[in-house]
Amino acid sequence: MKNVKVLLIEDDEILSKVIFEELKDAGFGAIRAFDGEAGLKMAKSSKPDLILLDLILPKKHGLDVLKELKSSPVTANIPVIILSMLGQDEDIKKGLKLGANDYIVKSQHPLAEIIEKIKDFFAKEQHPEAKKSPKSKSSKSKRTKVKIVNK
Amino acid sequence: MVSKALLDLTGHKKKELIGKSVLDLQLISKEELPAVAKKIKQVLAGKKEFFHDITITTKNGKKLIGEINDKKIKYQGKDAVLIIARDVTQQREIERELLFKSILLETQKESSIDGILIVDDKGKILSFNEQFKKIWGIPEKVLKTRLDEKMLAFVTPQLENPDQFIKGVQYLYKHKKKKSRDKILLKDGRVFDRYSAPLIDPKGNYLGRIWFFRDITKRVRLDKLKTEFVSIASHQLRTPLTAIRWVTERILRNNDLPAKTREYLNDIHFSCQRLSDLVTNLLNVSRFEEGEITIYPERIELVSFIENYLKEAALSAKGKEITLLFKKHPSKLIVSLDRNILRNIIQSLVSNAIEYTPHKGKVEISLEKRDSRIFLTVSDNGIGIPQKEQATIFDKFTRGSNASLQKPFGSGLGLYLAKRAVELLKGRIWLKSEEKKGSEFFVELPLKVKKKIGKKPFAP
Repeated sequence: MKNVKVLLIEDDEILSKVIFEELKDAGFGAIRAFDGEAGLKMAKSSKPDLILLDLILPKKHGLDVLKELKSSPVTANIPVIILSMLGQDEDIKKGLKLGANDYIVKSQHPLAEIIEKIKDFFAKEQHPEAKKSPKSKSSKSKRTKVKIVNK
Repeated sequence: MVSKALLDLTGHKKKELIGKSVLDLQLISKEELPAVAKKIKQVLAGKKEFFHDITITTKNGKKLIGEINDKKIKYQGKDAVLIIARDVTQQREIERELLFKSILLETQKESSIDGILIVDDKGKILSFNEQFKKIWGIPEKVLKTRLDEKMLAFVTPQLENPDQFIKGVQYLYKHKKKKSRDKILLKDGRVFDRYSAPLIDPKGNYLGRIWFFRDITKRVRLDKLKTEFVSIASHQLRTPLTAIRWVTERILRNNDLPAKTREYLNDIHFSCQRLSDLVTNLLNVSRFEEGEITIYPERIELVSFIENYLKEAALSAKGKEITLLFKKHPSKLIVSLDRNILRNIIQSLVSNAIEYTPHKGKVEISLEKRDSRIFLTVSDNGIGIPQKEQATIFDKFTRGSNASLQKPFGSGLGLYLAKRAVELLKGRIWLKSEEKKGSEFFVELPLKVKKKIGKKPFAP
């Protein structure tokens, strides 16, 4: 878990602080932004291994941030977990369609579960057989090309 | 001289009338005599012709309404008055009825809050009321043309979807016997409810159409506000609640907390959870009131789903040293149900069981699959529900009379929502209970539900 960088984009000060500290305690390298625009900037400059994205954000809505993340080659491959306050939101469905990997309903889970979910997520990344999404890239699934040369 | 028709009318014989004065015979009532006499005099004097109604009394005493025409003529060389009488009793009766109906209709039309427009089968305007003029703001001169198309030309630019409107009108011209109902959106933000019905005579002929327009802008706006308010309120309420909860969880990680501090922090955490559940319940009640709830079925492994929920519930159970058991269940049970609705059902029943069971009690959950149905049971050895109240315990805002002794503040919404949630998934819920002994709640659900698009999803 060392050297795994997680970017947290969450506007509520207290929630942000708590998640941030929890991430650090779990051994993740954590960075954070408090609004959509700052979050985008940070994602592009720091290229984290995972983004925790709140939906209701000032300056730019979470879904718009997600759209831009997925359309920019610099950030398109960074996995995103949506943080929502209301579960089964139409927004969550939209987010998943836009390419978010998973979602967490903040009001429904203990704080510790968020870390569990992130750890699970990275565990799946490490073991491609256990992967759910066939689209995510991993260096382990590289195929060696065989060249047939006529000589 | 008299005609035979007159004799038929009055019932007299010729000899009874000839030679007598028309004013003497009791044909005409005393009150009307002076006016009749005056008219006859005026006719004789060469004034003019009269048409008027009088009441004629026949020989039998029957009263008729006669339409009288008085003319001056020459009869046998002398000046005379020709009086032609027609029995118009029935006609006048019908006319009176028609007038009354007309007044009735006119009053209804003008007192209606709806804008009313009536057109004939060719689209020509037969009638409209003040309200119709007002809501569309159609000027007099356009209305005077009485032409449907001129009015349409005035109305359609005000609409958000003029094409849709016109298509609707054209459809009805083709399908003359159909009624219609739709909503119209105007560019200025107003919303009208529009209803129309054909005018059909007893033979089934199409005579025209009547249109009703009702301004429902306020109502639509109010509904929207209510929905927004509830949504925003629940979102805004949840953020600080989550904050309190998570901060408390972090503090509780510290193993060096004094026992009392730990206890109080657990109390804060627990209260927070209760508040959160209450917010969820209120949100859901309002959604049920509003109408259809969306059902999003998902593949769920029910055993681990319940186990996960119980981990959360364990915190509140621990505080009261209540044993939470989940032993009787299959190793795995896959279902296709809505996650939030399911969670609400389980949470309502389990939290109630814990709530209403005293210290050191027992709450047991069991799960069984039988004949492609799921059976979930939540039982406790708590305060139970009095026999008389068991039939109504699922009603809104209803709590057991003994409930407040155990828990002073309850919303009375938990079981109401659980029942509605169960029914939404096409299941059943029932109970067995004995006061001071405990309660058993049974839920039966299908293995699968269909996706249903409503106005809003069920709040988790």
